[in-house]
Amino acid sequence: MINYLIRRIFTSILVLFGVSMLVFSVIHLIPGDVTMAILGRQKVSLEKVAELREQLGLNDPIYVQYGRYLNKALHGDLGVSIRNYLPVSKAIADQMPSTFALAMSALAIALSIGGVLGLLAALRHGTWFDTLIMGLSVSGLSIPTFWMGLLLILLFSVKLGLFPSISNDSSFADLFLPALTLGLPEAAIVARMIRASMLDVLSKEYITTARAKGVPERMVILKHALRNALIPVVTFAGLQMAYLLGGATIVETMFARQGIGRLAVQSILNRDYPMVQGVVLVTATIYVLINTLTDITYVFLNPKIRLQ
Amino acid sequence: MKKALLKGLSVAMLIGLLIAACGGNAPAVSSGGDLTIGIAVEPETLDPGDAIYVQEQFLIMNLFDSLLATAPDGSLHAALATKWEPNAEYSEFTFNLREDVTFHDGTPFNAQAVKASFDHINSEAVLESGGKSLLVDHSYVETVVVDDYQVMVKFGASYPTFLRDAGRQWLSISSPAALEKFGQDYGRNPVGTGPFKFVQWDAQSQIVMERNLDYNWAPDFAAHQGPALVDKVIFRILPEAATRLTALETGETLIASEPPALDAISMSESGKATVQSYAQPGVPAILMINAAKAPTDNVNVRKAMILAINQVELAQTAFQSLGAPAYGVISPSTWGYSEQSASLYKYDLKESGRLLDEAGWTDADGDGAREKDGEKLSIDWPDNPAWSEAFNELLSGYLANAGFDVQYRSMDDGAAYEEMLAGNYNLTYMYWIRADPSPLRYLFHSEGINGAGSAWTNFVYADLDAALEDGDTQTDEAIRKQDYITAQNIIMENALVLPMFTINTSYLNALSVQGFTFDIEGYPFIYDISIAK
Repeated sequence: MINYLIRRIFTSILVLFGVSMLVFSVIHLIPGDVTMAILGRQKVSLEKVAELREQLGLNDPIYVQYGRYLNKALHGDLGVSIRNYLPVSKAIADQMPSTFALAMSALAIALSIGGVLGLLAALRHGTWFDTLIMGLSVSGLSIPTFWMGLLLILLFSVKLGLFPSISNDSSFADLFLPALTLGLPEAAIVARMIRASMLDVLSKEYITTARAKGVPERMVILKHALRNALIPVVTFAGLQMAYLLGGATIVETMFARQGIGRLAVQSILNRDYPMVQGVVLVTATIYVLINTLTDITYVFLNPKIRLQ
Repeated sequence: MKKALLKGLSVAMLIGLLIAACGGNAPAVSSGGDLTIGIAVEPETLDPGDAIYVQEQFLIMNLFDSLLATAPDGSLHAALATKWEPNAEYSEFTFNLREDVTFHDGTPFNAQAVKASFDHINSEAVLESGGKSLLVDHSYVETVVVDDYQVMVKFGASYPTFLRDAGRQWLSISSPAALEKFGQDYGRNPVGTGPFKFVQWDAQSQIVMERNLDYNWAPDFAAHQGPALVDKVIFRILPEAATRLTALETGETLIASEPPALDAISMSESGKATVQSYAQPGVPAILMINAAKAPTDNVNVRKAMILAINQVELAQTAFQSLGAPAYGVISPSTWGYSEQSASLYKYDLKESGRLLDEAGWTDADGDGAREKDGEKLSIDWPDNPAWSEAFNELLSGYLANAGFDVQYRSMDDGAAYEEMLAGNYNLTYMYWIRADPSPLRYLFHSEGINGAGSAWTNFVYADLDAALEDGDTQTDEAIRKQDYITAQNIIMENALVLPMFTINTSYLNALSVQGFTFDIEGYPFIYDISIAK
């Protein structure tokens, strides 16, 4: 098992190294000159462009630039934005709490709404209620986030005036619409997963045995069936959390929220190399870290993997 | 009957005069409240000396004051300076300063602060900014502290527009104590003397300012004196136009900047909001034509291009009633505008065709595009669509109607700039907001060819260079005006630019917003705005 853990952590580090290299190379291969993005369209002279390139270290060979970047990154220094000269790590840290609050709320909505509806659909398998829930979940999955967001804004902000259409902080009112927009499609997936998983477990012999032994139905469902049915959902939740922390770009943009996704988009548009590299590196690190943790947790939960 | 009418008129005039007197400089009672404004672009800095972008000036003008202030009619007024005196060459300017002004951090405003602010702009700490180009391009020498409340700003060359520029946001005065305290972070911790104090800046979310209760030095053309009328101004950063509109509709913001024209008009017509629009002075939206590359190296081809464009329809289609057509190289609200140069070309497809025929470009094979010696009449236009998405297809369509084969090449700014340096273009987009025509030198003097400036027309003509040089240093206003009229005439007679529309700035306001006016460059004058209860 120790071998497995070492192997798993080593692979993660390798992935991160690959990501940083890829991001660094790709962004330098895009045509165009970052100095022009900084200087804008007003009066610029070639001298000024050259001066700025030198100052930003853009004249060094690409591997020197990469080496310098990686060395600093390992010391927690992700460089300075070439757009507003703010430290990249600080800019990311400033945006992280907002993304975290949104991701957690969306996940809570997904698990609670999806969980309850999936469970009820499984218990009323084959009835009109089951069909309705599955129909709704297909809609939830098919409607694009930006459209869902628009509909929710139209109803809750414009018509009813209950919640703000632009979201600033992490209060309930400010989080409600963005979290719902982000959480509903996830809830649709959770509902389908729980329903399928429950139906599978409910057909197992040990459930029939439990029922035959006279265990109350509520106990059969909640203790024996649901616990086992939740295992795939836990894995899913772990992966989704990593995905959501990577930044819900569309939702953050629609509701003009602070967040890591919006930061990524703005940095790309501004050709702010250090910021893009920092955001992608941090997001990839979160993703890889949560993935690794999920895998490690699985080893403890599922003895089969340990034996392999 | 006549007597009664006269009497009535006199009474009306008297009432009018009384109202005008009250409206002039009377101290207004604060309406209070928070003014939330949806802005499209987040500033990069609030250090006036380090700023360059349009969106920064709108915020900076509320936090800072300049030595002078320009009224909407273009006249110069006292601001932080009470008196000003240039030397005969217009290279040294002496300013007497107000003695009752304090910065938001409590430190006093004095001659030392003016020197510190200008020296900061001129220092290595500022890489490239609007203020820096104003000072450096005019060979800034130094600011001399004559006494506590008198300074002399010295330049190495004549700078006849300095007094006008001293009223711009880029040359606002910062607190020397704050400049020293915050160093590189000053842009995020600005301290000025303006009607609002900086409170906080949450990246990607909002910038908050609160009323400066000590403020008592507004320019005399303002509608009131004393502190500003609203308690707080909150600039919400809302890059999506749809989000800005929704936020206005739900009442979460009271002003939306740059609304899409159609939505703005429809909201205004339904009585839910009011649209405020202002045609900004300076160089309107133009396409600079490369006179050094075929086929636009031929003056008739260039003229044919201009004649093929229906500017009225173009402005109307792209901006509805919020847009206005442009026919010259500077817009009518700019000082020194030449009506003559703007009357040379009016949409005339027939004349355009005749000029192209004369230049030898004909459509022999009947495919719609003209040819000469087997070559198509191709126009190369490398461009970032972010600048031209509102009009590029329409414009290409007009040119195609006249027989041009427009090759619009979509790319980002950096790539487009490289193409321009290599000379691979016939057209390039340009505009420049400025109340004075002086940017023409950067855009048309031959010293700015090949990227040394922005003379992308590559047109070398001694008379044009001479007029632009003299305009830059001439101290006699009448001669200076004539210089720019000459320059505009030369530019348009040689068809060096294709004028399209004036740059209009628009704001959509909630009905409760009162006292909304624009400053001379088209930025809302928030100081005079109040919110009706």
